[in-house]
Amino acid sequence: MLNKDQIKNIFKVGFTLCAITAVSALILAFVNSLTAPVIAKNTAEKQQQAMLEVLPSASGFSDENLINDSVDKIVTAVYEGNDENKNVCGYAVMVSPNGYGGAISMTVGVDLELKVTGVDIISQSETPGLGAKCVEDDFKNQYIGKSKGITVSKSGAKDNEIDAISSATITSNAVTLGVNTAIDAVILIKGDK
Amino acid sequence: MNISDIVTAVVIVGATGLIFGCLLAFASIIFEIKSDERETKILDVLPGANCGACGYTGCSAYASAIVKENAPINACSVGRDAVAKKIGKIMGIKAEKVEPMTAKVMCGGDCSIAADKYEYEGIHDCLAASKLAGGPKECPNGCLGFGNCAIACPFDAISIENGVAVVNEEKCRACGICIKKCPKHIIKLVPKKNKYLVLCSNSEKGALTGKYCQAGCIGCKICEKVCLAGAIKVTDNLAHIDYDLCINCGECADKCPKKVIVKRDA
Amino acid sequence: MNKNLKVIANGIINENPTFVQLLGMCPTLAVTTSLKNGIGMGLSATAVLVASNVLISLLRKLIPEKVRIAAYIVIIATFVTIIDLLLKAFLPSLADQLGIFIPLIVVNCIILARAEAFASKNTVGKSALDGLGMGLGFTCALILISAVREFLGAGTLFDIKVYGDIITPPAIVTMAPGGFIVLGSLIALINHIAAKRKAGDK
Repeated sequence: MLNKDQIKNIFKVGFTLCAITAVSALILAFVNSLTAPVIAKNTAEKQQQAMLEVLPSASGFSDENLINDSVDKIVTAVYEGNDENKNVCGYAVMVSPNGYGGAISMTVGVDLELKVTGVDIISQSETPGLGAKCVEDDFKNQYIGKSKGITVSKSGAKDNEIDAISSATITSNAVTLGVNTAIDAVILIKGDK
Repeated sequence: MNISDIVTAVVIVGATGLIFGCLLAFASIIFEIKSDERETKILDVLPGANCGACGYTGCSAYASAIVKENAPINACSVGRDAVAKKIGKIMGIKAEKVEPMTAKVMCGGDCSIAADKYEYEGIHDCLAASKLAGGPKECPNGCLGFGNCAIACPFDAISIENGVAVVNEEKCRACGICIKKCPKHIIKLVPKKNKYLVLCSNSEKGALTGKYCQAGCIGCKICEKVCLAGAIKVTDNLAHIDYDLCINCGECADKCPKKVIVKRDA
Repeated sequence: MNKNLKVIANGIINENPTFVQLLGMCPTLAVTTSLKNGIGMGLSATAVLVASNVLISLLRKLIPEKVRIAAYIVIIATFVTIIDLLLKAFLPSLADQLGIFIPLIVVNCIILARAEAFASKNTVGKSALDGLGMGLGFTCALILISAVREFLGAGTLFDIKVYGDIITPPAIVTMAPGGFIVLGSLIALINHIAAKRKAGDK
């Protein structure tokens, strides 16, 4: 079917492309080895920043991720927060509920009385102008001071309720679910200790 | 990142490259269309801009046309003489041997001598005007003078003078774009060696033509009778010159009662 | 020297990738919401353009015809990944803002078009200059568009508030419809000026 020349040509072309791709991979592996530690440091710093923001009473966090199998699957991490005197003052929970346009990555601060101390949205892909407004302080700060079992109200939120973003009920419900799950996770973990 | 990670990356990506490279090479053999290798060589020397000024839909189409349809080898306006010479070498043609051509608008019916059948108030566009009962000119084959050809010409070789389009032969590179744009189809390619042209495209009976255009061919056949080379024939009430036979004697132009046959200012 | 400047000027003016060739519209519309992002994207794309043009020109006699598209994309993707990693490491906030549009530089038509139409057929020096010219042309276009959109739509320039207390900036300018309208208007304006200059020359 194919003569010797053609087969030689096929391998020549194949090896040329192989050479190009192999050298590219080599260069990329090299650059990656240079930048990976810096990127990891950046990510850790960003995470640390977010945690400090949601748990203002803390000045540092322990490294150990306290989650276990009994915690809801959307919780990815729970870190214990310590104040200046090295006493436990609360927990920072990383949770990712599913919103309208995908997962909403959030950090929730919960104090020892199981009240919310802060909510930070790390990443979301909700509708700009509607669900995306969940990152604004006006919305997030509603959760501060509330405790387990927060519900969403369309308007005129009462005690353990928050006002939904108008025309963005799904996003509002998702964030609330995230916060509630975070509180539940802390209860579970605190109970284990 | 340790050595084994790097090696894994290089091996996997390299292997992918190898597999796909071989696959592509294999596919190109299986799916190969037998093409004249001159076509590939010509495509290589063409500038690759795919601009269409040559009159073809792109460099590949032009290369194909040169090999298969004997298209003129000097039509590339981007590459000009340099490219024409290279193509000539590939095709075994001397670039100079190619007949220099020019486009000519075969209509002399300007505003002073051609009548209108209605007053046109609409878009100044030949195609649009031609849709309204063939255009404002009485003559069904007359130049409407709105300049679609002039706008289309990539070398600015066409201008509108007194209501008809006129081609500047020095600028014209015979790319053929104007010919495609004219809705009346009255622009033709003429070899530069022929000095005489019938500047009319009208095929209506002479009695009618004479009424609406003083520069229209009436099909009287005087030119046919006086032609020394038998190069001019009247068909469909219109004189046509066979450029291969014409010897440029000028008798037809002399004797034409309507002065439709003109001498080009070459 | 003059000839070299001509190649660069060609990419900025005569054959500007955004306003004349209309290439790379997707990232143009997406990142021109602020001047900072516009410049960041423009310079990143320019870096990739010059680097890939140079490398492809160097390898132009070695890359077999049948795999040239695959080879170009691999080369371009490598450079984009390098830029992506460098940005994430040393300019993380810019990387966050440009987001997915950094990896999308790989399929930015401008880069593949110049690789195919220019770098594969010209010397290294000329290809580098062409890459620089086209990249700068793209960057200038992005600067112009994002300046207009940020000023009109957010009342700021480079995140510095310019106005906004008396008139509220119409946010729609920074959203998709505004993007299309501003881009279209600028293309019309620039081509009109160019046509007028051409007619004036005649």
